[in-house]
Amino acid sequence: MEISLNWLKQYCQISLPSEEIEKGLTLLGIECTHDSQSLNFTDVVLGRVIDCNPHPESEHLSVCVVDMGNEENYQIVCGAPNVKKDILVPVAKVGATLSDGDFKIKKAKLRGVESKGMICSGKELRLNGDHEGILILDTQLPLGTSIEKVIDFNCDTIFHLDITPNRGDCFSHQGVAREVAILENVLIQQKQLSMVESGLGISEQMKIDILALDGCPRYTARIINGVKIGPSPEWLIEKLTSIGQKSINNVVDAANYVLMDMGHPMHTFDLDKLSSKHINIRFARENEKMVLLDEKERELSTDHLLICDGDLPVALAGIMGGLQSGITEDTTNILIESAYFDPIVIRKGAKKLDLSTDASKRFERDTDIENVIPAMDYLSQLIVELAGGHISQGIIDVYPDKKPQTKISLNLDKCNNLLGISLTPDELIQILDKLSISHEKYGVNLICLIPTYRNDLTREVDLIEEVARVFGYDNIPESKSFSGSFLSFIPDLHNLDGKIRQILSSNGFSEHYSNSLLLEKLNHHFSDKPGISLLNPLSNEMSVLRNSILPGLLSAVAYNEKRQVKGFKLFEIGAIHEMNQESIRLSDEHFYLGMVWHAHSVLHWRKLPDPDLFQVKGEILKTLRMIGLNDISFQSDEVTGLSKSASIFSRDTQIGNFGELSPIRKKEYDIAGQVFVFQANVDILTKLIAKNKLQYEPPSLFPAVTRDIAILVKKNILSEDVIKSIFSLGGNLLKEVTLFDYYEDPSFGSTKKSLAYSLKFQSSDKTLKDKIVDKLITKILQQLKQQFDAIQR
Amino acid sequence: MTILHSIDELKNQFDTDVLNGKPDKDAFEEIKRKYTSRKGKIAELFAQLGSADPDIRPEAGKALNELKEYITIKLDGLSAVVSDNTEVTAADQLDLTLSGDPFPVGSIHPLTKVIEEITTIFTKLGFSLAYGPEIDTDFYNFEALNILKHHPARDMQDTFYVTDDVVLRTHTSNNQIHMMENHDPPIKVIAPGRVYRNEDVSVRSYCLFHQIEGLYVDKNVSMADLKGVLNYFAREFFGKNVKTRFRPSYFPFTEPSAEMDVSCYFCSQNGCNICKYTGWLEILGCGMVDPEVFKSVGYDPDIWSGYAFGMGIERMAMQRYGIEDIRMFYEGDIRFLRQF
Repeated sequence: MEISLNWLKQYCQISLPSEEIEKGLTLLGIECTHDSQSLNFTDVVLGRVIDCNPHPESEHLSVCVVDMGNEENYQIVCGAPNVKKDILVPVAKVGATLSDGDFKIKKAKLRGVESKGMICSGKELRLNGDHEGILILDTQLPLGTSIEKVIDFNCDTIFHLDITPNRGDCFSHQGVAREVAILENVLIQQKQLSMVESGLGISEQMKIDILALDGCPRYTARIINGVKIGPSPEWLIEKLTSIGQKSINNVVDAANYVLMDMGHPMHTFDLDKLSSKHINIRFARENEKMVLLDEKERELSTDHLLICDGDLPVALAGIMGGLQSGITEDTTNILIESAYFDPIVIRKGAKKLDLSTDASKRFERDTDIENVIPAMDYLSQLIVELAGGHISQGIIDVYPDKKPQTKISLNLDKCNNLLGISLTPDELIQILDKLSISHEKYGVNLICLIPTYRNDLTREVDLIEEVARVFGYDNIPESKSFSGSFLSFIPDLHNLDGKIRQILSSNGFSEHYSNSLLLEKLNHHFSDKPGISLLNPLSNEMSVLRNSILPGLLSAVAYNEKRQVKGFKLFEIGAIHEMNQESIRLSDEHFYLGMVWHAHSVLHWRKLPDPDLFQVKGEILKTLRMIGLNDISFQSDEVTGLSKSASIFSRDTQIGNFGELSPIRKKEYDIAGQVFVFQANVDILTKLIAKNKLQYEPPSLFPAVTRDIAILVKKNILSEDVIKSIFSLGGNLLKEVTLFDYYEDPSFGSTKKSLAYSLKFQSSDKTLKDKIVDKLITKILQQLKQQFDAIQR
Repeated sequence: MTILHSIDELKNQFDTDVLNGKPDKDAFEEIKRKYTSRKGKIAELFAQLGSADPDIRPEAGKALNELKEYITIKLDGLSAVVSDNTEVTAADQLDLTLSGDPFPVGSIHPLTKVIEEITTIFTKLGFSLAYGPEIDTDFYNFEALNILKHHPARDMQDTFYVTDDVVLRTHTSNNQIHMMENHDPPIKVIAPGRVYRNEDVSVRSYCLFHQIEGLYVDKNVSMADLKGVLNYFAREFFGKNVKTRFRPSYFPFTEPSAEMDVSCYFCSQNGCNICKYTGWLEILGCGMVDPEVFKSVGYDPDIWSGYAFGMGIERMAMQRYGIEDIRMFYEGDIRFLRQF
């Protein structure tokens, strides 16, 4: 909201500089910045016309000689009809600027006569609108004095306020003046009205019934007869434009002015268009239609409150007037509506139509039910001043259930304890007085009577905030100690995330945060679990919540590839969501770890191996071991979106999977290079690790015996199965089995492969004899032959 | 010349030989041979010992044994230096300026860094870490926090809806309700997390961002306590010379409510673009827990009091690292990420 300093001055003496007001309001909770308006000219000085003769070539121009206090006098050609000898005038010297610098005064020849400067009008100096003639001054100041020292230009300051939703009372100059008065330590002056009523009584011209009291607890009206619609006077236009409002005509401007001044939205009807002379306030019927002042037809619902002429809607209460009954150039008789509407009713209505107006904004934030009549009286007086006419006798005030003024009991100790301060009773009372909150003692408490414009104050704690606000948050001391209780400690369920981040970032992975709102299609790429869609997405591209951690990572891969970045590794830890109709929040949330490898051969003089699935597998295994998981196994498996993929288990629990991104997906993400991915459910990892108990085993004191075996098996035999079989026979003595050679050769035939394993045996209590180991090896080879048809090489 | 003289002389001779700079390998072997071989100088003197004057024989025997030990130890020490020298020679033949095997440097996301820094500060003060769901019901995100339906306060946050009753949380404040519902007071937690706002994506705003929520509930908690904790946080995070400013604000779930600003550390409050020439940076919202919130979770507001605060991570990270476009956080640009 824009607030004019000059306007505020109508309410209270302001001695603080604008910077202090800005700071003070901000520290009172009204965020504020300000713009000081400045003069629109430079180098305009006081001069005296010491000679004035007609221009030889033009009858509209005069050739003057002007004394500006220098030794030299200047010849200036002037076109104003009121220029004459021996007057004091504002003179723009050569080099001066006008119109905020747009217009520069230069030496010139006008119809052949040299002119060094310009004598200015009131309008040119933005002093007033007068452009008929030059400004004639009366002053004792010496010639050559800067004109801003001669005339008080009264430059305004505009404050831009950011008003929080609880402070509806600050949506006016009067309201802001009350806050400024706290800073100035004064009270605001109340308006003195001198309204004259005459002629017919209002109740003889109009009848008003409220049929929806819950929407409209109070409705008042006045009638003004015989107005003449016309332009607004200069001062009013200036006031409205200073705070960014447009001038329309005198009556509309008057209503707008009072709105900005006193904060209560009112509506003016053309009385002659209210044919039934009977206003009814009722809720709209479903699908009822009306055309509003913006000339658009709106379809209404039963949430909308209507002002009706008989039964015909003429205004959408508290939001916008109807087109048909509005003020036009031909209006002569006016009905002023000043009502109090329920904030929730207005908000619902405005939201439904997605229509927010100056009126609805204020009613939504709640208005002062007792301000209804003062605002209407002021508007009536102003309309008569600006547009003539006379105010009908009396007022209609339908207000069946008078709203009682709020009383709050305030306890000083409670206030001091909550804020951590130590106000004395007198200090508290001083603060309440500044807020115009009257009070009386009741035992140890104060019973506070809340001004009707402060609808936001309903509880003791609200009053305590008011006290803190005026006391100054910065004056509340800061505790030098902190307290706690062992009872408040809870375990960190995401402790693992940090560990994973450390491990992966130490191993060349960069952490990524991706947008968890996705194009719907992407939720089918790596999961068949239904995702969560938004009712009101920003765009189609962000219409669902991710059900997999991979799309975001792959989008980042594509992003980097397009920027010629190759051979990188990314990871992300974040929430994914799956639809669950059983849950009250409709979703199951899981934390996932995703890792991607953008494979690219490394440019290096040592000719390092190209990254492949086995490098990736090793990296996954290392990561899982680092976080504390042993017993990891891999099982070839079909995974949505991947080719050459495997599921990963810790004992019997599946924790995730990995593989190479399928060619179809690569195309969909527009990725050219080879990409490997891994994903794991971090919630599951966390649970598994919590169950893991470390148990120390002393290293053996006896030497180990190593034996190698090489076998020929069919290609479909899995190495993992061979190893399991070897271990099952090796017993306690077999400590390690390492595949150290894998070989395919035409000489084995196309269906066979050679596998070579190194077996390490060791006993914890004796030196192993060759005989024992040889026996075991024989048993193992027999078993492999039986189980896998393995031939020893 | 007695044998004792010869022993002394040999020692001097040895010292001269050894002290003559660091011997190279061949010279060392030569010295070793000269003194300790079977036909070396020591053996020579031992041979002479038998023919020495019996009166001085015991003394000479002792002296000779000492010399032998002296020489052995010296040569032992010297052997390490000699072999070092040999290795240096070998290294000269290998060009160690050739690049080593590449182990690419990874990185931790700037938002993680800021979150971890903040949570570390608060965990020192005894705050536990808590988490809540990103998708939540209207009750947890709004109603229980005293953000009532049909109140203009709802306009403060543009909300994504899943259904009329289920929303993407607009703040981490939903954690306050979950915490209080699931635990008896006292409570002392901070809750980091991702939140969503239905706002157009631009340089300054994104459809999601991250917050850290703080909640402390106990008996006799005051606003002075809140200021103490947050001022400590500000000094830890922004540096000990930072100034803070608390000013009244409005959040439906705190009363009194405040906004905390810190003195602009870019311009030392002389005015700059980042603080928009105000000298202050808006950092977080906070306040004393509103009694209505306590009532909605069944805490008695006459017994319990507390404070809550919430801060946006992106803004802090942008300020800290000089990032001007918020979208950079979510693009996954390696050239951006690797800088952290």
